[in-house]
Amino acid sequence: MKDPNYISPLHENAVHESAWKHVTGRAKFVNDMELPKGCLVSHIIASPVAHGRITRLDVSEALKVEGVVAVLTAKNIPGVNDVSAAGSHDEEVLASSEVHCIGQAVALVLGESYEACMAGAKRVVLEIDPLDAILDIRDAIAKQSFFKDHHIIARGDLDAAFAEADFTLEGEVESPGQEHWYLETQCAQAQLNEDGDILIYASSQNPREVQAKAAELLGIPESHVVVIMPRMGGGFGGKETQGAQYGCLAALGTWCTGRPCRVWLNRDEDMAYTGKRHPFYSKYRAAFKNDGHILALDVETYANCGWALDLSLCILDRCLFHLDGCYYIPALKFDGRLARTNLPSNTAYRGFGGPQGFIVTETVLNRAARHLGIDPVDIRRLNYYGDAPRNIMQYGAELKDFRIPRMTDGILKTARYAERKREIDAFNQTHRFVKRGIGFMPVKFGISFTNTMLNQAGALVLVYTDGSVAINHGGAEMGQGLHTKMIAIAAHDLGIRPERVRLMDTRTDKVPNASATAASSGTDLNGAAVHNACEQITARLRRVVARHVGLDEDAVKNIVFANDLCHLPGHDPIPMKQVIGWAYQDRVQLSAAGYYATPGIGYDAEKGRGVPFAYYSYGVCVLEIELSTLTGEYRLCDVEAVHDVGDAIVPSIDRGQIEGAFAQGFGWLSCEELVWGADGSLKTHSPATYKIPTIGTIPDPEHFRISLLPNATAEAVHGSKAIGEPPFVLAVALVQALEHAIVATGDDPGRDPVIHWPATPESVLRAIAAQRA
Amino acid sequence: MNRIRCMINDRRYEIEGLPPTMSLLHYLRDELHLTGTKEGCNEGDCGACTVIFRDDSGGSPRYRAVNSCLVYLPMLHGKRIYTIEGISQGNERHLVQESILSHYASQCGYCTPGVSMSLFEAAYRHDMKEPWQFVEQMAGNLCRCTGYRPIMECVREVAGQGKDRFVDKLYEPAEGVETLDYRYEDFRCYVPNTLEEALDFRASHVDAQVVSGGTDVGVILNKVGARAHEFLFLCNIRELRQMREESDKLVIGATARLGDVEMFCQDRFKPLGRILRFFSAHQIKQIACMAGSVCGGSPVGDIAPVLAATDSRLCLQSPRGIRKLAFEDFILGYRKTSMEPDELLVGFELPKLDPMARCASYKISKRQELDISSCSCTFYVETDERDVVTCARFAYGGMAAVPGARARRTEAFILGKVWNEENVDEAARQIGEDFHPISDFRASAWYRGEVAANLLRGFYVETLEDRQPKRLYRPASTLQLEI
Repeated sequence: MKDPNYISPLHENAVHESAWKHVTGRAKFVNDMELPKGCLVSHIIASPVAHGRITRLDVSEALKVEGVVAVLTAKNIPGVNDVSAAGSHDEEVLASSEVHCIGQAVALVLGESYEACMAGAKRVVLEIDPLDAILDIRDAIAKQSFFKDHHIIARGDLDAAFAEADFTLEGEVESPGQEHWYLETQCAQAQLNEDGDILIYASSQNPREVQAKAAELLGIPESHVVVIMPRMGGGFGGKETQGAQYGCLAALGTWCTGRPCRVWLNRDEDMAYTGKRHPFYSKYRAAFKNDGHILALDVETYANCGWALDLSLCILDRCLFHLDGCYYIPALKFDGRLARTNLPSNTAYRGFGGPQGFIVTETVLNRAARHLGIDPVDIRRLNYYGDAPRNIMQYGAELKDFRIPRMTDGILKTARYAERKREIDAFNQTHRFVKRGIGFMPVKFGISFTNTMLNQAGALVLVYTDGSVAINHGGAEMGQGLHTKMIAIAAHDLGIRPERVRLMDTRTDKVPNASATAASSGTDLNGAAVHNACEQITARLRRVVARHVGLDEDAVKNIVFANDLCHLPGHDPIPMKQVIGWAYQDRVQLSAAGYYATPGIGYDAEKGRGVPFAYYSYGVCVLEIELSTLTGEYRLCDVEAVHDVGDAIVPSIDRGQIEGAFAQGFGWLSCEELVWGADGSLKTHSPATYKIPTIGTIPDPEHFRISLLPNATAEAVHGSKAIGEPPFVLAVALVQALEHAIVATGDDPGRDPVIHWPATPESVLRAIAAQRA
Repeated sequence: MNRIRCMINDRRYEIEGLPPTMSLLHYLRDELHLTGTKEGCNEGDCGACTVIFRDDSGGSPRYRAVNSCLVYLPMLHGKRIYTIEGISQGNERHLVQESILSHYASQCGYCTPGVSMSLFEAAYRHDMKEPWQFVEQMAGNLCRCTGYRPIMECVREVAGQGKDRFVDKLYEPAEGVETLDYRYEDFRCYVPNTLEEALDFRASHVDAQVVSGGTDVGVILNKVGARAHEFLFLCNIRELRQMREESDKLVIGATARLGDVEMFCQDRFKPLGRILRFFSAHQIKQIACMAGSVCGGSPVGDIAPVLAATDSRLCLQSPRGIRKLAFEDFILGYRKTSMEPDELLVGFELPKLDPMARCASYKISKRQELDISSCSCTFYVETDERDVVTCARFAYGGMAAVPGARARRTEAFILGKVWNEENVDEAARQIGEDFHPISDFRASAWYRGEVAANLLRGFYVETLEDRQPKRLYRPASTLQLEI
């Protein structure tokens, strides 16, 4: 715990560690690095066919183009042609005989300039015999096109519950895909060194995987591949597994030519080739009592995985883990399947299946509330988790410290929910062409990688004799402020001013075997590892101080290192530089490797039972919209949200994460529409046609009120909680708000609106037309 | 003059031996190694590449934020440019950098240089008073991390607050440049200073691609490649940028910047002022112009419906003289105009609207800011003292193969009838007879048909009190109904 008597950066606002470099243009992303001498650039030749057999691939003419140095195909790969995540071995780096989606890489042209590569690419002969392609999730279901894994979480007696029900609901919810639209597109650069070893700069959330996959591809030991990750211009899950492809291609290029190589996707290529958020198609059946209690929920859900497995299984699990929302459901069956389609392989995206689960249950509860004629907030409060036996989740784990009820009480009051709802209903009575709606959303989001093995992290903390500090850890900085938090933790733990703490690029030769920076776990895992390393060092420093000052064993624990000073009872503070000097002089180690593994978790996916999460992150949101009944356009008028981040390591960073995640979630459900052609090509492959929120989408600051839950000390490092993904789900409040407004356009308040997501103006106008039909 | 002369971050550059199709973005990054300016989309839709141009082409000088991906080397001739690397030296902090730091407005930092430059422009603007202007100023900068709240705090804080050395730089006299005739391999680019030179060149080079703002041509250059080898750039011709008000009309120069036209027309010609608020993005509007929008002939052009509905005139000039055409006589078909090979579009004449006439423009798109319309339209209605319609012009974009297409049957239906809700509703049902729009990734034919009719109904309601409505701040729709 932080002692208020001493200065420390912990729990204080701080600017992003790279902010000054950001605003001066000095922050280098991989594609900003000066090209090394002789560096080649590249162009990927991608399949123009959604599914087919390669019958001819002739690169000889391309090699004659001036400036083209090599054209690599699967035949040039010396090792294993695979870039799949999680050991599924179903994803080739370069397609050898069969292509499975438009945009799948078939060959890599390497040349002196992009112009030369493009000219070369035009001379490559690629002939493909088309095969039947599955492009739609319903088609995949009809044809039973599934990956083999089939996960079910169930409890209670569904039949009995449905028999006992006062009313039941049936329906389906389709949640949309979403392009990550990180500002910095995929990029990697590789060079071959004197030991036949490879150095790769990669924009990746998972440098270790780039390392492992590149080593496997080239048939060399992992120790011979070093991956450096300076920073990413956004990741959001899109560079968790899918950056590896480009790291591997760069490595292959340098291996085959002996020259450094850079692989970079322009925006259109990035959007067309890389995977996105999984769209989910869910069918549900729900049973309720007339008092509003839910008795049972039976959901069959299908994730549209695209052509390769990637992380789809874990994503499906996270959907099943979050189909309960914040509600105790006595009898349930959550049945998840992975549909295989001939689209780019869908991948991690902030929320990781969670939002796709939430939206189903929230839709069901909205319908039940309408059926009963009660407020949607009331039915939620009624069904919240509570005291035993209402505290057991679908996978058998016990829910502790459930903060949602008190957060709900708080926000309903501060957001004046009931009053505003009455005002809105009165407004809607008197306005023909404009309708308003209000929505509330509670979020309970499980924290930990659902694959238990990944919940470990390492760090290497180096203290130099002048009292400056360098931190290495396994996490990757993508803008989320991870490094800034690591500085706060290390500066606090070591008692060194944050200005003296330098955060190093993420490198696989400093911290080995790191997990991806994902699952919101970056700070929890790496922060705990940094903390562990710092504790080792300060334990040694305490003994050094004791020796030099002459303290007894008991007094050692009263030593406080803070703000470049060592404080001890009965003595003047000693400069840390002095303490460190003593340590060096005494030949005491001034560096430490830290390590952390999350305790107490474990999950059996076959049984659907266990403790998949270390704890839960909570949030609540109230938002208001206003729509035009003539055009279906709508505006987000007001957002209020409270999020539980424990004792925030750096509150300014967490607030930024909440605001950004909310905006992304709002984009997912409103303006971001992926449109695919009948041939399986992405029609919306640039920002001209794929629309993420702008500053005009988000309300003015006075109407965008985000706060952190006070007095919220929690279980992760220094009392904090994870933050990356959970607030994305806050935007699901839009479902209730839009439904509220759309119902008001018709005459029957009990009639369920049907909204196709994302709710573009067209989708809303269709819903209004249906409401009035 | 055969070398491009410009100043970047106060250093003088003379450019030769580089392809004229190279964008400023790639010149900065690949030739000057100024990699602070980022590529996000290479089509002007994200703002990561935003840089500052000092505009001294007439009136009081000002800084303009522009997308460097859509500016080509010949367009740099005679220009002063600032990039993110040029706004502070050493540990000096520019106002906008300070503001971004204090509001925690950078996360991944990739959009930040572009955001900084849009803020930089705002710092030296003194006309940002209304709330919508803050949105407009920043809507061309996409950010995927912050959710924009801190960026809004920044622009509110810095607008008009620039009081440093960059104010002096703004007023340093401009160095004149001679007309540029730039050649590279088989490319030839002509950047004249006068209309006369431009007309002469046009007459003798009828196949040359005319580039006015370049924001449309630029996207094609970036994504498809050069379709011509000779280019005539109009960006340095001051006389084409002018705007003036006459007793019966407004005269807008062909290459007057859309941002300037927007401000000029706010109160003087509301249907245009209002549609320009929702037209492309701020950075685009600092170089794009009406001539480019109209000559491109895109079926979804938002300016064409305004010209068609208000019976505005286009002025075409050649060495043979000037002729003035109504919009309908200008557009002949899909991306086809009646411009003669030796003609240039030199300006527009917008008639002063009778204050009793009802007139408004609308634009529908998936996203209000920085999006291409699925349907846009301008309605113009005159009635007599008994409210009988004596003139009706309903012009649409996105509904037919040509922009500014008139809904002739609908117009005919309402003409001579009383302008009331019942008749307008009945008229709106005729839209389906007028148009058979397409379905694409922006909207379906059904939606286009529905909103085309509903916008007319909405227009009736919106103009009940205010016959030529202006904009509201953050409306749910360009259709601003409060009832």
